Amino acid sequence: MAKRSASLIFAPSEATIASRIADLICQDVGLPISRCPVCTSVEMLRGALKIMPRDRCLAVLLAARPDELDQMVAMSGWLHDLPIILKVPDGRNETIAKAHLLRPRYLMGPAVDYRELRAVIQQIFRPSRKSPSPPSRTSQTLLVSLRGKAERFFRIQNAGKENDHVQKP
Amino acid sequence: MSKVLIIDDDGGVCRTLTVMVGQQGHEAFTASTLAQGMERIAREPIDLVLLDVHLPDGNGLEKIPAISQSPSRPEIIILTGRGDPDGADLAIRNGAWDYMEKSASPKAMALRFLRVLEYRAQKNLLRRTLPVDREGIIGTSEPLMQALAQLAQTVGSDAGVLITGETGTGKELFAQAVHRNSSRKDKNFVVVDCASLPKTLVESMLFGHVKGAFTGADSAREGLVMQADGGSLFLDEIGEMPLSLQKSFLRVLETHRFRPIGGKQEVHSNLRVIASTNRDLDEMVARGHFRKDLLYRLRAFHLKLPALHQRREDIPELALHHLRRLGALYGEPAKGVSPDLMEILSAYDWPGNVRELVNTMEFALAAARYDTGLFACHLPTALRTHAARQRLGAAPLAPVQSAPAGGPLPLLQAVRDAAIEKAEADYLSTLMSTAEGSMSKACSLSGVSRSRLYELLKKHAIA
Repeated sequence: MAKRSASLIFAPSEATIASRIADLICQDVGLPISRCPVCTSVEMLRGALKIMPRDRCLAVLLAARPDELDQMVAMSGWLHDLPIILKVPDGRNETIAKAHLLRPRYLMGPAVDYRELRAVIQQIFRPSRKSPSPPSRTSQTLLVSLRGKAERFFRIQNAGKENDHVQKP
Repeated sequence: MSKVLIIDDDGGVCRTLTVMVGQQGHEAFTASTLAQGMERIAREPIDLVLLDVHLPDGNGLEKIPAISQSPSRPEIIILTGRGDPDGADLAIRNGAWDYMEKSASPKAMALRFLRVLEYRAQKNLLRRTLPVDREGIIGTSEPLMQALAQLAQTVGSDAGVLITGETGTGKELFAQAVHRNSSRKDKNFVVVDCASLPKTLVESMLFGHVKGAFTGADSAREGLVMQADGGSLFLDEIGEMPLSLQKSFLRVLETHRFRPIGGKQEVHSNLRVIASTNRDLDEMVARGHFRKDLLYRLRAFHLKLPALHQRREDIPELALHHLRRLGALYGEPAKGVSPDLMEILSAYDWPGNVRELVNTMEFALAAARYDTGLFACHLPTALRTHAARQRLGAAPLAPVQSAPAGGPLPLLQAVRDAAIEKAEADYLSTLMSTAEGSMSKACSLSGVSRSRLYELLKKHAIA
């Protein structure tokens, strides 16, 4: 379904939810797990952004605390061309105002409604959603063709072990 | 006082026009050939060019694009002794302001000069005083400046804004700029991507719901309309909004009041709506897929964004801007860019617009990871192939027709392919022009299926 699509999840401390969302994306959209990395640190996120196809990549940001949301807002320049799904730590007006600085396509409250989230993700990855890809992207995405798949796996998995907050439920 | 350049090989005409221009308080210069005129235009700023068609060293009509793109971007009025409706059409399509016969009365001519120079003065004034914060909007081309001028008109108003343009032209960037340049800039800019929201959820997301309003509504939700109170609500891809919801939304626009799902009380939200689409909403209205009254509400201001191929002169600046941005993100040292790469970028038609350019620069940056500079070889193969084809296609039959005796003859297959490509491209351009951009009409006229037609248009980069 989404051969060239990808997603990345940035969850500094929401490991369980992140893992569940990654499973949901992989199952529903048919992405291989290598195309749906869970990043728990800024460095991991930066590394993942380098290898993801930005024209077909969904960013899921899970903020468990207000300071995590602040961090995400500070990184908005890195994410500005990606569709964002954002989970906020609380429903306070200031939090919501801050959340909108990231221009999310879908905003979740502290409690995730997986049924709704699933519907949104399916809609975002719907094949006909955007116009056909430009010809310059018919080739492999970025470093895949340059370095080979093995290194991509290696980089993500290594980084994951260093910051091993991600656990399967 | 404006500067007017008269390019005509008839000395009598030059003298008459010089007097006429002088009487209106402007300064006139004359040139008797295209070469002299082009040299003058390159040397000093000119406001208006009065251009003859038949000149000793060429056809004036063919120089319109070059004159329009010269540093001072003068307005052009074509002057000719012979009436030629096709020539007039071509002149105006290529960017000339007007087309006049030299036999026109002096009064009529003077009136036209006056109008064009007034327009020019207003345009220059607007360009100098654009009171907008254009952060992130890169470029100085005329089409972009016109879009910014339209943006400037939205400042100080709370009326709806509709932004249209092809995919990847920066509609969201302009929507943010509209918000940033309004009195609502300190409040929320709330994005509603009508294409991302499932139809079953969009109403609840927009208007919110009370606890227990429907199965699964375990808690109350504040809708996006409420979150945009005091700020702006950006409806991206408004053409995707379900017809059933359009009626409810129209009411919000008219009264600023709405009722959350399951709620008993109406609530008030003081929001401004900015909408964008790459679809033809007028056509959707005609087909009954979009409400006319909603369209009128949304289109109080209409910003039409140019496609990237319409503002080619911005391509180098855009490419460098995104290279710097991506380089900083990826921690790459700054790299030089070779002229051959820039040449290919500038010549390409960019059907995916700025978004495609950004992706291409990202690709090139990754490909040049171990090199000190970016060269044409770092561009995606498809782009380089396209550039090579364009070079070949520019004169596809020339090698056969003009090959010197004993010179190398191209392969028949190459000549045949190039001829077919050209014929296909010409046909599609005429087809889309005849169909006035309507895909349905184009399909019906050509007898080609919609998907095949899209494929062909994409292949030939025809918008």
